[in-house]
Amino acid sequence: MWCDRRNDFSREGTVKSRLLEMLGISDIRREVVLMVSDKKTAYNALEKLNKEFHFDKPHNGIAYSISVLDVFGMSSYDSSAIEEEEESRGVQNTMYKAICTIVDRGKAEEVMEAANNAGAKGGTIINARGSGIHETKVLFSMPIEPEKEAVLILAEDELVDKIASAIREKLKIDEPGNGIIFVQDVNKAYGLR
Amino acid sequence: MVSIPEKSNLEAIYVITNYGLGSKVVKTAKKCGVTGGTIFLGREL
Repeated sequence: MWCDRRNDFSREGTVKSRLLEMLGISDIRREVVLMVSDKKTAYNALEKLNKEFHFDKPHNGIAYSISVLDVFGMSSYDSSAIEEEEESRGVQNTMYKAICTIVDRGKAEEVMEAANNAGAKGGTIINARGSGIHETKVLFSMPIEPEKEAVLILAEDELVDKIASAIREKLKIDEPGNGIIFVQDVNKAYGLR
Repeated sequence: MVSIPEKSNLEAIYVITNYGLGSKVVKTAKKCGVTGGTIFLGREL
């Protein structure tokens, strides 16, 4: 059963709560918002979002940004625009990385368990579907896309290898069809502690 | 681990927020010039 614990005392950003885990109500609904823009706009938006949603305070979630190489389908984006660096709050060129693990549905708990044992402080699970080359099945001429879970974990630089290795080992990621892990640099982050 | 040097002026913003606030996040970001956003439902353990 889901209950709204938006203002729960024990939550910190997306950090795992031992108390809620003990009570068996540690599954919290979240929303993940993905937006792409030029850096200047993105940093301004992050600043404004932090002021409005108070990511610096516990229980309010996190916000971070990652570099994007190219974008298509955004007619309003001018790729020739010159980037202007602006002083702003938040942590720039953070010592954090984003670890994204995509595994079969039902295995996210195992991913989180391995990550937490390796030092991760929290993570967000997103339901997904899709398949790699090893698992495309066709039923009545229609390709079947297996259900997946994507696990987003933000971790400090020095913990990233340890966490990724723990997940690789536990989920046997290196064997074909068991999922993938990729790691991205985080440029700016709010709400991490 | 090798970091790829930045080649573009683009940035992806991820906001992980409480359930029900995603639309407000996009609305606020739009006021700052972001053209739009996509909201996924997620959960934490």
